[in-house]
Amino acid sequence: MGVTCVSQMPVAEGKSVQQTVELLTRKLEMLGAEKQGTFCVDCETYHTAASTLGSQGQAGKLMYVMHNSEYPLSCFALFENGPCLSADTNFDVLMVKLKGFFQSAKASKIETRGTRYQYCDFLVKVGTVTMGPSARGISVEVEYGPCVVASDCWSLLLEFLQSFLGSHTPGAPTVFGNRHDAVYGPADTMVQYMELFNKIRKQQQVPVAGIR
Amino acid sequence: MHFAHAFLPTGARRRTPSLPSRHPYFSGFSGEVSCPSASCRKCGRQSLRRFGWALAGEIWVFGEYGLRVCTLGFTSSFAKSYSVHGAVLLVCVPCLAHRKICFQFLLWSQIRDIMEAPPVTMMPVTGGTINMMEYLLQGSVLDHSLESLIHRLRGLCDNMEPETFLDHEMVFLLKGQQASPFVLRARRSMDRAGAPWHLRYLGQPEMGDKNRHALVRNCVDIATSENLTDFLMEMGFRMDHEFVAKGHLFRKGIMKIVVYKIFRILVPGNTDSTEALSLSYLVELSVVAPAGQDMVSDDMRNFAEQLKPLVHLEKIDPKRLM
Repeated sequence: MGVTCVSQMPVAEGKSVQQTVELLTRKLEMLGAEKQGTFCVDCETYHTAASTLGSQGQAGKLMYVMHNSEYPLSCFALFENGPCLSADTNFDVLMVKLKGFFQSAKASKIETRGTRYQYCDFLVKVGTVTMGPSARGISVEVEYGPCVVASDCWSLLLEFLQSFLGSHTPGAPTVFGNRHDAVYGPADTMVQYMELFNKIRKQQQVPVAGIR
Repeated sequence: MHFAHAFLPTGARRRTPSLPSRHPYFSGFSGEVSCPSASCRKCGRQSLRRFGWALAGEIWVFGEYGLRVCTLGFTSSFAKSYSVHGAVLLVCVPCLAHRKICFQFLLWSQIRDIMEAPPVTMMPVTGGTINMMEYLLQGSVLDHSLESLIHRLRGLCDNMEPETFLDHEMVFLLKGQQASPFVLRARRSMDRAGAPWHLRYLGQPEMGDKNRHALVRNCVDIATSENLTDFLMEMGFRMDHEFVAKGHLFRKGIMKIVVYKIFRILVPGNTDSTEALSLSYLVELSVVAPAGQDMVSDDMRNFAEQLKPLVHLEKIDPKRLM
């Protein structure tokens, strides 16, 4: 697991989500990237059931349970601004047992699916973020495999991002900010995805006028 | 013919009592069929004769539908010999076009479309995983008998390096509106660096079969990263108690035998200052297997027999101890 940056690509003016994704993937292919299968990252939201709130005296918290096809045998559970737990897939079975205490907000299941591209040491994943049947945005994930310390390779990552994202290049992810010299891990990638999904959830739906 | 009864909808009533018949395959009626609703009998009779099929069986009524649970046979012109082709469920459907009763041979799926399907309750999705059950037998030995037990186990169990372990277990509770809190056990290894933490959920022991030799309960085992305790606290769990377990581990096929001593932790969070809870070792024989494999408990009992009289492993119901 190398240092990864997850960002959102805004939908191009006058184009649909699918067309923008196609533009991006064509740019990547022209750059020389090789298609290497597909990927999927999904996120389910759970909130503490009302029955447990009284005994804790605190507002209900949201827990996100995420899966990443890059780590097929793992399940990630996290709280916003809280710890991120990496567990194996039996964690989903545990969530079923906990359904009296944690209720799933089924309507807010969000996922991103798309293609993986390998370009030398970089792994680029461009995905369409969907919530239910509607496409809500585009996610771009770039991983630089050889390096696991964020501060050592951020400038290189930034340069690579600029080469195909152009003006839509993001700033340094917040997960880097906390611990410059700490080893980067998959949990950090999931935190970035969670922030991206929350941002997209709050955004307005892609206006119908933009879809011809 | 009786398996066809399984396809009858709940609430169907049998209309005619089953009459004894000369032929062993048939009961109830034979030859001609009449529909319970007050419409044309002729059509039914005629169509049956046309096709040369004989139907014999029982008449059931479900709402305005008449159902036949019968065996289908082909009659020869002599109407005495039958060859049985199988059991069918016929639905008598009022044919509005002809204002006659027409028999239709329907597949069960079609029958269900016609009948009002009962409401389907939403079953929780378990994500395609199998429910695993833990089968457990427990016993104990005093400290001075430990060596002989270990010796016996080394002989009986699979040939492997004797394995010792030193684990720190914390038990977390989540209190909700339900009377009983939700219990989760978090266990970490103190002597193996880098091993993942082990989170375990154990359900209520399954009551029922008194003949079952072992305690059976649902179990979910999850390997997690090291920030498990912080995460559980964030979820709302609170630590109830903790202890250190130190002992030996043996395996025989799918059976796991653990002989360990429990140490009480004197200062919360400090695993260095511990004190033995008793002058004995706890012996547990357990198997984690998919639900429904009850022969596992027989194998366990047979193995436990071999450990007598050193240790008596038995099914101990935790509720009876409290």
